[in-house]
Amino acid sequence: MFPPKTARLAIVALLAGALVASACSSASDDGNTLTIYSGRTEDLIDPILDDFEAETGITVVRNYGDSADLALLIDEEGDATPADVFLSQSPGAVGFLDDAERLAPLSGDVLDLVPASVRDDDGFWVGFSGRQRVLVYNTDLVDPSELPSSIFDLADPAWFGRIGVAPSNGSFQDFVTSLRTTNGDDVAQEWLEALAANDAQSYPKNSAIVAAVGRGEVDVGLVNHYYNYRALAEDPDHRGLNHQFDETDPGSVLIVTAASIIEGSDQSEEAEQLIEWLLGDSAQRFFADETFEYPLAPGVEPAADIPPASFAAVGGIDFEDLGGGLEATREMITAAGLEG
Amino acid sequence: MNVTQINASHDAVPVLHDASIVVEEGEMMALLGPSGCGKTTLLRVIAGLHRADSGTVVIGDQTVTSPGTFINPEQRRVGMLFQDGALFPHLTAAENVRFGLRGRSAAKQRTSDMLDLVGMGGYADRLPGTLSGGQQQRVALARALAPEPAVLLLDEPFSALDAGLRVQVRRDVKRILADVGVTTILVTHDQDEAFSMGDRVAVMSDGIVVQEGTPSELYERPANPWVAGFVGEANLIDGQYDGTNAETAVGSLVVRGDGPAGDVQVLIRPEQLAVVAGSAAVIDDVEYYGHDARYDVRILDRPGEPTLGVRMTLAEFQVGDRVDVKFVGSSVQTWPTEQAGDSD
Amino acid sequence: MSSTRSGTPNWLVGHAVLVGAVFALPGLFVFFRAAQLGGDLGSTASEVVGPLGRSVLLALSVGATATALGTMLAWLVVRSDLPGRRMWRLLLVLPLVFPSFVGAAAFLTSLAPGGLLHGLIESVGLEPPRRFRGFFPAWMVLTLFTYPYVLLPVAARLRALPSSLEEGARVLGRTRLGAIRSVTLPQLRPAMLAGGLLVFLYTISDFGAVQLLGYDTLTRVIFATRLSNRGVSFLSATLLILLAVAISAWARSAGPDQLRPDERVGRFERPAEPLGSIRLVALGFVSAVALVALVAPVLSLLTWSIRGLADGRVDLGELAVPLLNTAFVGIVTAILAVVVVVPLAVVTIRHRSKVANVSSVAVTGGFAVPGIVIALSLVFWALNTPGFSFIYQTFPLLILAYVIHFGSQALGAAEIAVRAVPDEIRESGRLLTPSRWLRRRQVEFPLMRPGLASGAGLVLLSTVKELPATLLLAPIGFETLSTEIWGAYEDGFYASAGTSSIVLVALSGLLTWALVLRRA
Repeated sequence: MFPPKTARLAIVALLAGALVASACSSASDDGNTLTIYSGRTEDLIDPILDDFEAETGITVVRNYGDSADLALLIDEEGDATPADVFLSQSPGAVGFLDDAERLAPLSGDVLDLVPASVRDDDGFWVGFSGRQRVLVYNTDLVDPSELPSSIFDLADPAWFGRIGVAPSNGSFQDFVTSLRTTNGDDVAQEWLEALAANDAQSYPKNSAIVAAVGRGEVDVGLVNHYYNYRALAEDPDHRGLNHQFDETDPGSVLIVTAASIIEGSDQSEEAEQLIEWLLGDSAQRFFADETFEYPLAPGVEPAADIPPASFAAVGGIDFEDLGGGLEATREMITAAGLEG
Repeated sequence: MNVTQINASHDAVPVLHDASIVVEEGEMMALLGPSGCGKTTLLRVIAGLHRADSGTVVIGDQTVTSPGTFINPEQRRVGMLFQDGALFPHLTAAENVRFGLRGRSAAKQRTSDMLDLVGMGGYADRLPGTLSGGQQQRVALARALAPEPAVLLLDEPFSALDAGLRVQVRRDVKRILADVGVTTILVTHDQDEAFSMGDRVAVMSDGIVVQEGTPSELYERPANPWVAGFVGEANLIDGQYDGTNAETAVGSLVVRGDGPAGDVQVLIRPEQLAVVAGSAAVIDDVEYYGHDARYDVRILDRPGEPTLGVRMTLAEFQVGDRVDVKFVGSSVQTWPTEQAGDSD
Repeated sequence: MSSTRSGTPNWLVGHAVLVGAVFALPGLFVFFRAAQLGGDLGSTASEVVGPLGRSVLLALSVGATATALGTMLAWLVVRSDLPGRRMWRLLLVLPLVFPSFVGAAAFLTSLAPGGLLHGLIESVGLEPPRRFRGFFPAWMVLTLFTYPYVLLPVAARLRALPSSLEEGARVLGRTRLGAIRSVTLPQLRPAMLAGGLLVFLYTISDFGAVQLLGYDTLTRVIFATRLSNRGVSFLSATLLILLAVAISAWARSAGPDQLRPDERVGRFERPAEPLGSIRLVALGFVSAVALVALVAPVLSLLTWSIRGLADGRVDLGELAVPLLNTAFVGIVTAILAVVVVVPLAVVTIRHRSKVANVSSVAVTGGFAVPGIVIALSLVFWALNTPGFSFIYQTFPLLILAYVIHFGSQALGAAEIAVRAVPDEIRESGRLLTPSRWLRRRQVEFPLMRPGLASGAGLVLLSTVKELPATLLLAPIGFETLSTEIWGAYEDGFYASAGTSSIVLVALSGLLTWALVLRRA
């Protein structure tokens, strides 16, 4: 192909280009800068942050990653953390930082932007979008008439080998924590064991379950509603559809994505400004229309084709209220043998 | 052993053209040629390590390669000594020798006999990495001889050794092979080695066996000027042949054999010439070797012609001395000039 | 010069100690945290014993099959007259480049209706499995994605092996297979062992693929408990590291006896071994491996990708900066990893240093530590070592994480490369050129090059797909292809994930060809 010299030149050019590029991308460190660690991925939040920058003149430095990993990172960084704001995909990760006393209290003004059911009782974090727990099913393999109205119906042997779950994933754990709150530990434990006895298949995360249901690998899966909309947007031939459990069923709780301010942030004013922005009209409309989530600010309606969900049932909010918190939830999941 | 009209190629590039040699039982045949002439390929064809495009190889009374026949190397009863020895580095000397004796009775005895034969009896448990190059080649020889091969093939086995060691190992190997009496083919690019080891020598060039004969036949009656130069130092000068004698710059010389009269190239070996004090020529260079000396002599009235090499036991002249050149041999070899031109 | 066996130069010993200490940082962090958090040993043990057993079982199985497959393929592409060897040499390395979860997801997509493998299985009249989960699927998929760890070093060794060994065995009465078994395989053993060890370590540290394939291993425990029960998480990580250290130490002791320098290098272009009647069978075999391990997943990714490119959701231009960044970190890490481990290999092999052996185990173990743990440990050390906090969230710390994580891949290759320089050659080189550096450059380096290139290639391929450490340690805003893939895949943006993955595979192919294969 091309001679060695050309190849060498190409590589040098490549390296030089990369250096320049990386220098450019991190060269914006002037006074009014806010650093956020975001468990929400770029596609789900970047436009809102860009709008915020344009609106306020505050530069938002964004560090994306897995919510749990970022929570661990903030904890490990301690006082040296550059993070001002932490956005989590699920309450579990903020709960961890809350427990570790790494969060700063939010002002009442911010907290009052959402109903009490979707924020931390002690005021350390606030939900800014919601995802409903649903059952995603493969339209070729499941007749809509046999779809259950309650998660407890999934214990029926008729569902043997047909269910996918993500037991090591935060959203499932938050949902089980919520189940413990509403129905008690015994019921929760029994249900988990029934799922295991029904040979529920274990997946690493929601998107993997939705894909597996689409492929027909499992018939149904317990997931957050959001992922199947995404899958349909990706592939119109995707075979999965969402099914809501009864409004009152513990299976149809809302899992919130949460915003918090890191203890010790010297930008708490700007940080609150950002959270207010996330709960503002344009951001909430973005969550509703672009990412198919449930807006949490009162007065903002979900997208037209998203079925309504109840705000009454919000999952995994107050771990402190439960013995052992998230840790006990996970131990119950493990004890049921759901992960193996 | 008969090797007849072998054609072979590497990656579709022909390297052997109808190469044929005959080796008598118990004989040592040296295959001599410059690198790239195909001699190693011919050896590998004989061993079955390279498939010939055509031609036959007969070892003893067994046809091992012919159109439609290919006997695998492991069934050919050939022994081979590689340039690098190719001792298996993870096996001891004894294990190496025993490698080819698998399944034979008295393999152990045979192994120690062979090691003794090559003078390596004391090194049975040593790994190749701890032996010198010469020792490694001895073990490799023992390994090759142990299964009593019908033919032993030596592929430049001494070229990786230091010059001093080379002569010694060469001598030892020759003695051992003579004792064993095995039919042997030695591949080498070194004329000294071919002449000192080989009962007969086959000279190869560009995939062709150019000439086959005893060392003295090759030296004295080379088939063409190229062979003449390859097997020894040669002065090739112009002359006019009249049917018996050739007129040259060093006088009228008796020509061996016969041929058409006309312009010829005359082969004069350096030892067939001598210099005496005189005026027709000048000494350009002197190489002193103790037992003899070699002069580069330029004949003054023949500008443009190459200098003559002269070997004499006396070294009484120095660079710049004026001399005359004399022919002191009995007869010379000639080739018609056109033919000489063709063979280049 | 004092570099004799008895007197190892001080700088080499110092280097070995330093390297060992740096590579031990993640382990020390994990031990420290495990002790500090005081996880309940009893309950941890009962929770962990099953997954640990499965991790070991899977890693041993994958290690064995990947070693066999990688060795076989290496022989075919280096030694045989397989048609298209040059092309296969490149293609067969590429399965290594799929990020674990993407590779497994793409593989499963291929098995599902509409996928290439689904169609192929149906076309031969079989029923494609509806569910491909559990031990055997995990075993198979991991084997297909990890055999290049063996293929590369074994191919490098095979290239350096003189043909006269096998030929010597042939004329001494061995069949072709017999010669390979009795002579070639013993020569390949160190390379096979080094590669097999990498496969083992990769398998015990993998999370994405095994989880997606429904096989529950120790890494799941580490991940699932990392927020909710950190004591269990760190105790499990401790176990993982101890397992890695034990297996690395075993591999070193089972490896080539350093008193038996049994490496040889050839000086000749070797003739290709004719496959004869099995040439087509071999071609079919190699094609099948490439089809299942490379073509099938790539086609799945392409299917995702094309949908997005078609309707404009995916913009290739946005990948330019991540592409350059990826190439940059990959090349820098590969070179640095080789530079760091070569002196260690020298002091281990030539000076038989015990210190270096211990350091080598630390280097090897680094590969089994999950990336997230390495990242967190470097955060810890950078911020808690007085005077070092300036390095935090800088490029060098990221590169350090990569080097710690993947240095082992260069080490095995470097040891093979060092052995490829025989003592005589080193000594004659010493006589010819008085300058040590000139000598290394002109005499030793060319001999070591195939081995070093294969090591650098492995590091490169691993680095460009690395994710957890990249996400946590990269300077904020530093995007690579793998962070793009993760960001997209995490929330089901398959078109975007597929496109980034294809670009990653293409980039890896190009870099492997330009930097490794062309030079080896």
